[in-house]
Amino acid sequence: MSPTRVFVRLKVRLVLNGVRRMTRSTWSKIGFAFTLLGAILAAALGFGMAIGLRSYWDSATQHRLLVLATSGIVFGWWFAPILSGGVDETIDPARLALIPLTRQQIRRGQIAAGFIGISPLMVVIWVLGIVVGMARSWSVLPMLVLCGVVVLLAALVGSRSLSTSLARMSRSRRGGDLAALIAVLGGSVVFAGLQLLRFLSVTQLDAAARVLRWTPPGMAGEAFELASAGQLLPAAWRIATLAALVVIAGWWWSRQLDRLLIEPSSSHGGALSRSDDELAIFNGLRRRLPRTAAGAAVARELVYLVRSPGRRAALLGGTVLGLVYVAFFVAQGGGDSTWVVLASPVAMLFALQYASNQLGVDPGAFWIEVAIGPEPQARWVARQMLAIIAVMVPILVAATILAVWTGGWLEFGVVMITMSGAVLSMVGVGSWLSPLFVTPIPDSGNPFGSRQSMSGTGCSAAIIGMLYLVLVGVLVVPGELAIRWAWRSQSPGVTVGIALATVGANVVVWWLSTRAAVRGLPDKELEVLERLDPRLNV
Amino acid sequence: MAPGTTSAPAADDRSVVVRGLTKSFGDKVAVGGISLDVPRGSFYGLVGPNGAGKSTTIKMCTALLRPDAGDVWIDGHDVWADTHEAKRRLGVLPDDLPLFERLTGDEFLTFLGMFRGLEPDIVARRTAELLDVLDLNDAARVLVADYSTGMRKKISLAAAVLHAPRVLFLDEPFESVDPVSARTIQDLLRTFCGGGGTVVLSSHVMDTVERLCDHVAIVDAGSIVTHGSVDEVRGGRRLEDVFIDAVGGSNAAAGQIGWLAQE
Repeated sequence: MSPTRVFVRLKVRLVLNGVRRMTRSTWSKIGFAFTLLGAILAAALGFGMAIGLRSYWDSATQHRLLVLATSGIVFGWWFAPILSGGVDETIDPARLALIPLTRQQIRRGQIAAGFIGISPLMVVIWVLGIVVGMARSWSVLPMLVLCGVVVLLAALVGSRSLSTSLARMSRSRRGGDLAALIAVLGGSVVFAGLQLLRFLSVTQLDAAARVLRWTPPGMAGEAFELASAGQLLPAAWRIATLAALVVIAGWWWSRQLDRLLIEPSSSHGGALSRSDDELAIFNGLRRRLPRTAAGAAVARELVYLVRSPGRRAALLGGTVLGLVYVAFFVAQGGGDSTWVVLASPVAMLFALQYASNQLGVDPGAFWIEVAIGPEPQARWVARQMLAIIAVMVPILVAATILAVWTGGWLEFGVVMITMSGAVLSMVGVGSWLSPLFVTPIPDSGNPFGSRQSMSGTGCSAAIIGMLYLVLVGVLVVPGELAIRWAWRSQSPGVTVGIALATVGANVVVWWLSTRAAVRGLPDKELEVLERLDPRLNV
Repeated sequence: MAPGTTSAPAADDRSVVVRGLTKSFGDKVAVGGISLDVPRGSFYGLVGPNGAGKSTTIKMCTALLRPDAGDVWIDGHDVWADTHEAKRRLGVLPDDLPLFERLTGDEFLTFLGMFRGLEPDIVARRTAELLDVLDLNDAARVLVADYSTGMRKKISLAAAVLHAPRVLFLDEPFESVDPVSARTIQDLLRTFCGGGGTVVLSSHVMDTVERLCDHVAIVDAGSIVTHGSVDEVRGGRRLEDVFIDAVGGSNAAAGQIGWLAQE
């Protein structure tokens, strides 16, 4: 049996076993059911839209949709494996290092295996829909099929190339930082793009299509259009451009694969250098922290904030993407310009998991906390501090920029007062909820380091995240509106009173929820430990 | 001396030939010019303290880590110039390589056999026999993700020998393995050597090395301190004593951590 066929059979087996494994967890079952339902609906909807491309849309809309669709498919597939919490085992070079396979055999096998699975199948159905939908006659069908194949190859080979490069970069400390940043930014841009789609007007979509048509994936969209109209030569050179990208990505992938195959292990000791000031966790500013269990836990989180590539990238990525999200949100809002400052809390969107999923941070080390014994107060203090930093930095940056831009310094003050209380409620409620819905948060940009793909975990985490976001909205918005109303139309005394009441209410929520979390954790920690077990997250 | 710069050894009774193997990670020299000759059919032990460079040496000998300098030949095939052929002759049990977690034990061995181009009936027969010998029959249909550390070691060993290699490199093969399984593995390895196969293993357990191996090399700080047949290296003493003398015992007296003593 050829290695390519073995790769395909291996991938089928991995997918089936992954599904089998889900029967153990209710949340994974729900997540998988939603994933499957969503994929079937998306495949049917995409196929239907693609089939009707030529019949139901005018030529301008057709052009726009084709360029956006091919760009979305290619760029989406590049980052989707990272966004979904890891890639499948057939493409992890470390697992193939001992087997005498040539690079060509590995590449062929991995490409073939790459089309097995729910998401790949969905995308293949979309592309098939475009091919069928754009076929005016039998004579243009071969060119349309060629366009479809090149688009799928560009998506897959680009994705493999990126994943392997990130894994290679993760070998060094600085490379690991960069890999984590690329993973967080790239993955989140795709996510933000999907979220923002509904806010965009036809004009904005047109503008995006005008830019994307100059990129190789966008050119493929035009190639479909031209091939359908029988203009085969212009279609050919456009698809040839994307094919050239496939060749370049394939060459790069091959190079990275070769290096990973001879250095699959991620650590060799001695590669890291430590400066003297890193020898103890109570150095520098941390010297001021109390020498208690809580102080040590906080100091450790601060050290990790500096050293952990995942946390640094999440903070930076969260801030940048939060700003992008706020910008789009604001662009849709219009009206009184100073109001937009009130939207700045939206910038915390990408950092919310640090508040809602506090026990998912540093999952591999949770056993130490369980082994040390009952000190949940210290654990929550540290996690809540990390969550406050992760959530407040993006908001502070977004609010400052918006206030400078609009002159809405009153609203800036409103946001800060409101958030100073609301963030306490958020982290308190997050602490309370975290043991119930804990999901490991990867701490690396190495896509092979996270093993949650095909398990429904990402879907269930997204559902929980959305529910938490609604909860946060309920906490933040009334306070903001009340304080702003008082500031504008009432006496300073009333304003201060409402502000204090808002903050006070949040402090009460924080105190109650944290108390519940502290009391509840000892009973649930073994269950949490099991949920964080890396062996279960495969 | 960059890899591939020394001439290939003549075909003889040496199964593994290592020349000037060197590897550094940043400023730290992990392996500093190791040379070894492993006789065909021998049971060769690499012993050394933690961080001595044993695992790094094994990785470089099995094409899992490119050396900064030096060469390795397996059965006359240059590991870096002729990697494909060398890997066909090699079986490796690394200490930290990931497995296909979402496969069951028998599926794991079956797929590896198929990747190595073995006939399906041979794969099926060997898989069944190995699972039986290594006492993994009950776990044959359990996902590798659910295996204990010892079971992972055993399934990795089964994967290493499935294709009947000529040379086996084993990194700490008995670590985390229960005594009964350890005895089974030792018998399996003796059978392998008896049939002309060569085993190179690293271990911290001197008794095991003394009992199993006919040759030994003591590695410290990336260099070979002494090597030869076990009897030559021992010189009438216990291997553990020779080892401690060679690498230098710790000067820290247990009394320095007197707080550990219970009242």
